[in-house]
Amino acid sequence: MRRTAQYDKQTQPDWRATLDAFLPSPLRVMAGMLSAADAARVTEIRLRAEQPALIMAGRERVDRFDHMRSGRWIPSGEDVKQFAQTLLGHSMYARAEELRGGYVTLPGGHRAGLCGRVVLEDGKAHHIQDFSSVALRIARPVPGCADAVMPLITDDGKPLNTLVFSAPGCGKTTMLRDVARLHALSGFQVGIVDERSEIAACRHGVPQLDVGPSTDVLDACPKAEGMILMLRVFSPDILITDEIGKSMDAEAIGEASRCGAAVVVSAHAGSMEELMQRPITGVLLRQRSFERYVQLGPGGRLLKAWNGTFGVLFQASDHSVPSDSSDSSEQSYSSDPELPRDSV
Amino acid sequence: MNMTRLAFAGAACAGCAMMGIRMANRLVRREEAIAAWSRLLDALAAQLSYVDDPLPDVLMRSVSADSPGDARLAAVITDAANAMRRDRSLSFAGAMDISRAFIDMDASDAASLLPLIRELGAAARPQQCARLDSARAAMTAMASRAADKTSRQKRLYISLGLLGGLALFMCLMG
Repeated sequence: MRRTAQYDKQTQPDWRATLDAFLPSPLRVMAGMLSAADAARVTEIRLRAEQPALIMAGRERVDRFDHMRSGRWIPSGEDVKQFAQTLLGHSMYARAEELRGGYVTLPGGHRAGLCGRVVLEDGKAHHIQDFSSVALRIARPVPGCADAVMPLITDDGKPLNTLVFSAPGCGKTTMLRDVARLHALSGFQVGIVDERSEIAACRHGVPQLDVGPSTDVLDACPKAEGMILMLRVFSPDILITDEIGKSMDAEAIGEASRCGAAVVVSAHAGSMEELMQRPITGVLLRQRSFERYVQLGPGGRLLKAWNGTFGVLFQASDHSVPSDSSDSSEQSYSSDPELPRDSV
Repeated sequence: MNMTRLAFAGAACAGCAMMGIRMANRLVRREEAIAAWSRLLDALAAQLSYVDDPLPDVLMRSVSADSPGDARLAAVITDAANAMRRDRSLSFAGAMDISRAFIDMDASDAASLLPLIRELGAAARPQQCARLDSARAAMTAMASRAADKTSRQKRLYISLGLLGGLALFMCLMG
């Protein structure tokens, strides 16, 4: 069952090849003008009606056009609508439910957020129409980002109940994805409850990002319900879910532990104190529901790890944060290479 | 000389009769085309009310070749669905050869279907189903008018063609 979590550093596929069929021709030209290094840094493409199209790497623009409006592609409202419909596969009826969550998943795990006029039904947002802007977020999985964490969250290869926390945008989801992949590579049966389709980025039920060979994904399912369902149906060795925060989530985590499945979950919190103060995670911490706590910093950097009794297992020697604190979780991953393996 | 005149008059008579038959046949083909569109819209409405598949797949499943009209429409729809699969930027309206799709129909028939064709796949499910329902209702009314017109005018066109041909024949021979 146990196997050292080895992996091959995968070459990131060029997003331009995957998304080429979806991009309008002027945008295709803009993307084609990027150098390979710039293309590898791209985090999102933004299109707004009557505004210049932007290709961004974090907060930096990487498209090769000047800041003036001249000489750049300024899509019309109709261009944006057509692009949005292309992203929806000209089958909006099929994607409306997904779109209600704010975005649609594309091949390769890339995601498109669409803005426009929201149509209400019974006072709730039902669907969006008359699209006026598109944000195309480039998925950049970081295979191996959990390498440094794995020795901390396993005991002689056995997975432990773990809570990964950080401020938003530090890469908790990316970390969970890689934890799933590495556990699956080690021969464990992994179950992912992916309420917001962010961990596995399923498209038509198929994970677009690498979550490992023995991983089952329950896509777009509420966490608590999904965890119980996953336990009942797939009996996973490890259950992974993102951003816990409801009382039902806590109950489901307890149920999973009783069933013998290790739980690896994430939560938003900037510090252990903040985690303790939050209603649900606070209860889980007091109940000692977890055997490991892992704190991530900007860029997905492993900052600190605790055991179940809050004894510090690991602390990064340098707490300085990278200067680019933009949403870089998907691109500038770094983990401490000097992680003391015997610290667990 | 008489033989030439006879042949010319015969050809003119046959031409007139053919024209009448062709006009009657156009009515039949229009009726078939409307019925085929009507059946396609029924199938689409049934599929789109519960299926989450991409539009090209739904279109491919909705066509049939049960009648000549269905087969002609199926060829156009299948080509459009394949074009949409090849080029993701194409909408249904962009992928479809409109002139082929409405070749047997009147301009007014085409005009009543074009808004639906332009919006197919571009609306959320309830709106999509509502538009389909309204198009189906329009098609039902159109089909009944077409059937009525065919039953009234089919024989008339054939008779007029034959009589006109006969009259022309007699004039030319006389």
